[in-house]
Amino acid sequence: MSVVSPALRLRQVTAGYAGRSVLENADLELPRGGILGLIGPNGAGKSTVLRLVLGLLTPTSGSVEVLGTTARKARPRIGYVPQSLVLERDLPSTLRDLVESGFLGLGSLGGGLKAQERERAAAWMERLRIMPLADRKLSQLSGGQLQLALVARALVREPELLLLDEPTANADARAEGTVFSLLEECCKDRTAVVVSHDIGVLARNVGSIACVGAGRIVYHGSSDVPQEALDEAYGCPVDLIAHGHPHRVLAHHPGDPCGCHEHGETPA
Amino acid sequence: MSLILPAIIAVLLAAVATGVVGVLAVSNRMVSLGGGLAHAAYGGVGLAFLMGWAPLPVTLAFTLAAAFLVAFLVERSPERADTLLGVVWALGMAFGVICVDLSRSYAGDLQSVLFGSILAIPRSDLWALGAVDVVLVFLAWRFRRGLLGLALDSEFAEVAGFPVRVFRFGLLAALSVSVVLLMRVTGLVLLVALLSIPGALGVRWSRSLGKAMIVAGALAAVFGLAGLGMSWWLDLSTGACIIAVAGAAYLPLSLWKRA
Repeated sequence: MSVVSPALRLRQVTAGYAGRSVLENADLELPRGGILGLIGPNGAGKSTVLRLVLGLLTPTSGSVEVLGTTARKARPRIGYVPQSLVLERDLPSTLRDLVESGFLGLGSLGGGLKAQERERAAAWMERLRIMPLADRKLSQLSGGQLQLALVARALVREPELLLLDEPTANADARAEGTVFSLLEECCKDRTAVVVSHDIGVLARNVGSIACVGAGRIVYHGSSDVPQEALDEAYGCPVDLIAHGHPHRVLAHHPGDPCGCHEHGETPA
Repeated sequence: MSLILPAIIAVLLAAVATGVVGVLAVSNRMVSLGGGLAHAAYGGVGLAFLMGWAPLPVTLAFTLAAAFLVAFLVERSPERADTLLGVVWALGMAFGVICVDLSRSYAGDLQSVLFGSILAIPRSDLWALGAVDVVLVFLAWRFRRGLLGLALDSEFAEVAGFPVRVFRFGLLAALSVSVVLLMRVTGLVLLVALLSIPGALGVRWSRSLGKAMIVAGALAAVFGLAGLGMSWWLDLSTGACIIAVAGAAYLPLSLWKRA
């Protein structure tokens, strides 16, 4: 009987930048399948976890295992959705070009695409309802449209593991709904990790949550995270406020220099 | 006519290289690097002058070495990239000036390196420009999707397993070779305008990298021929006239909304 390796396994990982550790002896084991939300305040280490998993950052100690192998070797099996801000939107390129750039690194050196690759890209654009925008220049797209194109770019690779960094940061409610309903549909046979500082978005859309804060990662089996865990991750009190969908926002606490209240959603 | 015809051919051949490399330089934010390399190349010119070697291969080797030195330093040093580029830029020029001083020979010909000498371009340079054009166009077509993906989002390209470093070095080499060959047209002092103006307009007005290169090449040809005509009729420096025409066209166009 073969044992399936976990999607992610971080063991006693210490990592950071310029001599400053962001994670210290952090552990995380994520089983395959489903959507994990990674939450925590700005600077807590959410992006550091992503960079470790992508092999863009090497831990100073500990080990990172992705899909049963090293982060670098797992790259062809990973789909990465960065924040749309990293894109050079002023280039002479269309949404279709962006989606089709998802095939980079999968064998060819960036020449022409095969017919089946074009068809696969078109199918994902249809599924994400961005096909009518395919020939629009990137500079003419809204933040939400661009974000959907980035998701499509990652999905054309048919990845086993999807990593999404703030995928709904610039998206409206419709685009957010499209992204998460698609993720739910896709993640029956793959794993997704969604990074967000917006607890509300994650709490209503993901199956499990891990909190990153104070150098540690605490994995919770469900999206129902204990109040104390949130308080600890954010380093300040967090309130639950409901309007339509139940979700959490960070409580306003005057005089706190960290300004944590800015991280949550604004109550309606 | 025997003087102007090689110059016209040179302008047209230079336009092809300018179209391809200019668009890649603008797309990858490498215009300043191109300007820096053009100035650093003077070190190669001075070295060739001092040693009595053929200027083209020595300048080419020196410029490539300067480009890779900048790339190495940017990767390894905590200093900002523009600071490192500025230092290599000035160091190359200083080395060239010292070499010329040490030679104790008449250095009047070197004015053409600084400000261009398209009317005196040798046939061998035309052949070299033509060969470089063929290679650049082929490589740009062959790797068009990779070049666009790299410019769009280099981090994604790296994570996707695309050979980002190899392509970056390839871009550096293409930029260095083009800089050395285009020096004849405008001179190293004005070369940065030739690299940036047609490329920027091509990028602005096009929907694909290939079309941007065609637009940039066509504009470079128009600017080059207009500048050449202006210098011929008014008896002015050709390189300066080409850049004056390009700059005068670019500034009002830069205010137009993007396509």
